[in-house]
Amino acid sequence: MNHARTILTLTTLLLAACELPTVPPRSVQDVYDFKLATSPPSVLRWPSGSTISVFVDAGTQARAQQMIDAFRLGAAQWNAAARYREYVLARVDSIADADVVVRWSDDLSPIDFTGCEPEISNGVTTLCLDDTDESRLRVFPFRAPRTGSHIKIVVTILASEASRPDRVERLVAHELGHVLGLARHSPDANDLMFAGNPTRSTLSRRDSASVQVLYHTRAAITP
Amino acid sequence: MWPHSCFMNGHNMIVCGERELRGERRRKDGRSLLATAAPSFFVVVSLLVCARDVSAQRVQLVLRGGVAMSSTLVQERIGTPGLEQVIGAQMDDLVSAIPTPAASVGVGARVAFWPRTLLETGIEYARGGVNAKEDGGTRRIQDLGVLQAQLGVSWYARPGIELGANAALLRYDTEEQGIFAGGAGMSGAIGGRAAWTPPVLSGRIAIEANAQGHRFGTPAIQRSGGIDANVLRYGVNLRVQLAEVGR
Repeated sequence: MNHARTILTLTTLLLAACELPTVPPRSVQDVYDFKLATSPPSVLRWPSGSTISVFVDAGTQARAQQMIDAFRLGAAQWNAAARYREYVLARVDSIADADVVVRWSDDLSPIDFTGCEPEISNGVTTLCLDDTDESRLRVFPFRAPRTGSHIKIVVTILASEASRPDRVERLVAHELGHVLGLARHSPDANDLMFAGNPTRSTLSRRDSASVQVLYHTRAAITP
Repeated sequence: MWPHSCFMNGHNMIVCGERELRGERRRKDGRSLLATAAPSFFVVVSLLVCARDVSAQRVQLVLRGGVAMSSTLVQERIGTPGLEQVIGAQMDDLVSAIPTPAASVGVGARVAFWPRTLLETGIEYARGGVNAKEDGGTRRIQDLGVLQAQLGVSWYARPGIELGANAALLRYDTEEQGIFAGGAGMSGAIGGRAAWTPPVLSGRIAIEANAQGHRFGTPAIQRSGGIDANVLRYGVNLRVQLAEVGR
């Protein structure tokens, strides 16, 4: 009897010791649609473990630091949501090393947008599928005579927004969500990826959950 | 093997005190609880006497090196049937953060404390990494170090064989990102150890196996709804006695 009790106690202790730290699964309501509006809709994301090199083309005016600070804040938030280092948004000093460029709308673009021009908006993320391989993104060439670009996504922030620093932070953080592959908008105004003017500059739980799910969903398109 | 640390009958006095503590004599013969508890003061008194005597012992300084491993730090179920249906694409079922085997090194001091019993203290540092395991494979997330300060006792169960238990304060040393975004704080751990001293080199080396458990949870995990749970660490060390100092 004593032996049985000892074995039971040891087994209970062992099972308790083996209890595993677990994050509960997401429900459908925790995630918004993030698929690119192709036909049919496709999942677009960087390969797991990618370091996404971002060149902040902030110019030399007083607003330059504003753009750099906005990127730093936005990238830190999205990076914190990558619990298993699915991606890292990292700023690079040379445009030649960049996968992504963030720029003001009225600065001379170092990129040739021919055939894939950005739309006019407060903030817009521009990407196009490769004509020859639709599972890849087109590489934007540099304006001549420079060569060797591997820029696939360009974020453009309307220059007039520079007068409102808080909005620049929100816009840049929101557009970085698109850069990561959250290709659509949340219908909920409480999310950073809300379609209208964002009311927050920090990630909501749904933003975090959506990007987490995105990076564990098989991609049809990779940059 | 070791000279007694306490005076000859002290050991028996401790045993008597423990019986009182366990309540085996509680209320026996109509004694009050206070009177029943009183003999337990022998435990405290004897420990103090022994502590004084410990200062008269020779202290072994030891170096440890080996491999430390750990159970999964956290796991997350991603793909649920409902979610997969809505998204319409294949998802990872489960993603886990699993520490890689780590090289460990430590220093410690051991001193005779009781008949056939040693008091041990030391610090240990293990350096490895964390991998993310998902359906698509395993990839490195970040480097991971674990620093711990330990205090424990070891008992010579039979010649050349030691069994021990210890408590430790443990700190994860890593970049603040991923599951460690926001840090990891400090955890208390308890563990056990078994060692074999082969009859070579005058018993100056030993092979140790150890296991310990601690609660684990980080702000990043908690923010995403995760709960703290137990993580087991285990390893194998080679222990080398560097010197013996003292009277």
